Amino acid sequence: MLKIENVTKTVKSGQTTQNILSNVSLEIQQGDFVSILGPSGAGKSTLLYCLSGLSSITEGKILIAEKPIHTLKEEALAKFRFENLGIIFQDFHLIPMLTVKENIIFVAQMYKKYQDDTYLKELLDIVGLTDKADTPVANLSGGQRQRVAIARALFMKPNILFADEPTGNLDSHTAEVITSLLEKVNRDLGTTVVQVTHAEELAKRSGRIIRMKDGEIV
Amino acid sequence: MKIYQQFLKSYYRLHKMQFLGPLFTLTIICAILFGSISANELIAKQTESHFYDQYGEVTQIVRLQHDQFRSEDDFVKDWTGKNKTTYLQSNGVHEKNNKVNFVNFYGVDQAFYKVFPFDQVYELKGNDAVVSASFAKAHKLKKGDMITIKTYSTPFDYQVAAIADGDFFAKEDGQGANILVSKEQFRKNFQLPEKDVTTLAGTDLKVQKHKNVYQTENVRENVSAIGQMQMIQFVVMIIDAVILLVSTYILFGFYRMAFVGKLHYLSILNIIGIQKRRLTALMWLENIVLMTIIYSILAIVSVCLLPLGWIYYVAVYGILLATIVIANGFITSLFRKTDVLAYILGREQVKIKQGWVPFFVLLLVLVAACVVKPTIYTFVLVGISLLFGVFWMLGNAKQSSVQLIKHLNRERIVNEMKAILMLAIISLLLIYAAITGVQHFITGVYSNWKFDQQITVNEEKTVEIQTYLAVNNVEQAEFLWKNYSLEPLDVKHKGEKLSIDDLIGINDQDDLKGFNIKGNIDMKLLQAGNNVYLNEKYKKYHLLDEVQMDGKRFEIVGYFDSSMNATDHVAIVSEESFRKLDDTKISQFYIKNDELILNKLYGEFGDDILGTMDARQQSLDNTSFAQNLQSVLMIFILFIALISILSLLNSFFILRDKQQKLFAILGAAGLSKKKLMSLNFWQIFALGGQGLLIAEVILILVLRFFEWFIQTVIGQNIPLVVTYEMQLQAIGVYLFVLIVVWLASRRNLKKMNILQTIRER
Repeated sequence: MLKIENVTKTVKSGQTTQNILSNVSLEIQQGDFVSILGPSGAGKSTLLYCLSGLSSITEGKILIAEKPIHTLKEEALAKFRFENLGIIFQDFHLIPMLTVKENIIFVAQMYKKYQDDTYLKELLDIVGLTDKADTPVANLSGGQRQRVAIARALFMKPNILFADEPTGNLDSHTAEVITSLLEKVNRDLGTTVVQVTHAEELAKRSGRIIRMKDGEIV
Repeated sequence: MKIYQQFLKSYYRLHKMQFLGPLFTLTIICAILFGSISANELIAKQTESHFYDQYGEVTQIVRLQHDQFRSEDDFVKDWTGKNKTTYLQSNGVHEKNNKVNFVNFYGVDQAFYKVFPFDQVYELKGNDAVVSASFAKAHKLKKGDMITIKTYSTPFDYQVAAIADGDFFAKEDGQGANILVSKEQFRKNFQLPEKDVTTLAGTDLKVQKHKNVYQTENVRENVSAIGQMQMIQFVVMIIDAVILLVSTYILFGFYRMAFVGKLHYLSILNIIGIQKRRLTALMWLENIVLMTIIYSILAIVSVCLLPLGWIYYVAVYGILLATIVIANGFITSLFRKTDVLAYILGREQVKIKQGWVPFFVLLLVLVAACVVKPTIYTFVLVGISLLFGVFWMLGNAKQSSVQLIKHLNRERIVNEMKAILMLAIISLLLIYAAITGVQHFITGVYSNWKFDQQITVNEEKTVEIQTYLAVNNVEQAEFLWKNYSLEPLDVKHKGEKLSIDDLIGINDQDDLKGFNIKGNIDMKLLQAGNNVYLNEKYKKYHLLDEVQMDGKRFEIVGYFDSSMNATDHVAIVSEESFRKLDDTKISQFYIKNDELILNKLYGEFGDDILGTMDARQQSLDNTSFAQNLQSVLMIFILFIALISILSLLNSFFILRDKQQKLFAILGAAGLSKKKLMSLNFWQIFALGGQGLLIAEVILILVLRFFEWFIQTVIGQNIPLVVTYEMQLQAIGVYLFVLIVVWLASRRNLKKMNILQTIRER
């Protein structure tokens, strides 16, 4: 499903070159729930963004459903991301002016892929926001916003859901709720989930933990 | 105080551009205010000068025969004397000693005088006089001045044909000759016996300088344009008012935007323990610093460039100060009400409800326009604008691009979007107003330019012709008739001899008037044989009728209007006509057969230029005025265009920056850059289109309102028409801005790093 081989990412800062990712290889199967753990600066988020095509790599290969996404051009990559991947962030990054429903369907609308509310209602039910569909996201709590972000990421039924510290800005109770939701998504929808987290306890609830340190998988 | 200084220092270091932006814009706005008031001032002066032309005592008639020998500088230098109401009175000697020989004259046939650069011998003809240099200087006489020499009770006009370079026969004690006149003519004028006229020195002679009112037809046209100038002034005043309002709004908008940008920092300062009242004081302090800088810049610019009175400074500073106070009051109250913690945490949006006020004000204007001019057209326009307003606010379009725009109009960004729309509207209004104003200005001053050209340049089509008139007034005619048995002008109309009353206007004034007239005579027509222009008083004689003068037949080809002249001229013929008819020199007509007084026939095509000294001076002033006005207007319109462009660009770029993260999020969610760019394109042009349409509607209605207002208040019907060309110009500027914004945004989006943008912002 997802396979990376010898991925290296370096960044230049003035005269010095720094390896953010060093020769990382990894394989994730369809339906996995994977947590990437590690201290700050380990390269977890960078790896996640490289996997999702938001960040480029210096060397190596990234294959998703056997498609080498590292070779895709910007436009094709965006389309691929839209059709196959879902991404959620620590800071939610919703469009504050829109309602819950509008946030979820907006990109699909732009691609003219939004047909009816059937799947939307299902998703809202899954994330527990049915009664908030027409509420502006600015009026929601942090946990609710993250649930909107999850629903938005799932709207196009992606194969993989990437989550960058989805509970990082939430209290423990809400974090628990969100993690349960991700489990539910993984279990009920069969979506592969790859999350980056600091929380050991939450990571343990995923099927697999990948530990990173200094840009390498340990 | 120290904390304030530190804050200001760090703030301006960090946000130099934010600081310079408003500063620059404010400076420009102030320049516009000054520029418009300055233009107004100039217009006012112009109007005043026209009034002066109409009612003032324009006294000297100058005849500039030898201009071609002079440089322009010399010319101007020579004709800058002020001598509007000076009469040559009896001199001191006369008054003190009751002597009679206060003016010395000499009768000669030829006078030597010098006109740079040639020495010439001047043959005295008719009522020509040559005066000594010292005499001319003492009485401020110039060539072409009319003087009256009066013996006993008989006055006669003489024209200063030349000023000698020396005092010729004059003596130091005032004796001797200061005025040289023709012996023969002098004798005839004053019914003197055949003897040497020089013996008359010492008789009771008075020299009186004429108070002649001389106006060209063009001047009269200008005078008639005074009403128009007043209207223009009124229109300019309205434009000023609009600009003031709009500028105030822009100023306010900039403060608001600057404040919203600043709120974050103020909130952090508040969180770390600085009281709100101290922060409020900080804001005031900052604004005062800002204003001090602006005042300084303005003061320097104004003093250097604009010769304005203190009252204008006070007025403009007062307006600015009021704006600052209002803006400060507003942002202070906003800041006081802001829950800074909530704001920093993103839980509270800064809502600026006042953002809608201008929109509703404009709406009120529309409604008012409907009320005052309830035409179907007005109602339709208002209806469209209201529909647009509804769509704008509550639109329910399904297309995704439009939907985004609709969504973007919510919450926080709504204020910025409104600001952009408002800016679009006011920018267009500004541009329209400026162009309209310029059009009016140009229309207003066009006649002046025309006037200048006609005064200074002899154009073929508008050649100035100076001619003679047969007789001057009834008294003179009767006098001549009785004393010299002169027959009145031998003019026949269809074979019937006309009486003198038919031809001579009654002149109430004691003074004899000058013989000069200038009008827009069709030279070609006039020169085409025996053509004559008659005074319009003789319109009872029809065009193409034949009249006889001095036994010569002339055909009436037109009339001239001498109502504005103090003299009543009868007829204008061309020198060419006389020559062609009689094949004789003009001088032979002067006293031909003692039947007709033909003092002199001027009219050498392209040779003589007539004009009063004041008119001449005025023409120079007009030229200078027109040039100044043109410069001011150019600066004015450039400023307006610049500020409009800057405002629009600024607003769009602020919006773009605010939306950058939004675009990055959409990009992360899989929206391709192509689609993002498309979104951006439609957003810019949909907003631009809305602004344009609303501006168009408002413009039309506002103009109609002003038309009604002007008609109601001052009773003038001034059509305020914005031509298609003007609209196209404004729309062109607007489109240019939109295209620049689009291209810049497109480039920005192309280069956008999604991840970096999400993280950084």
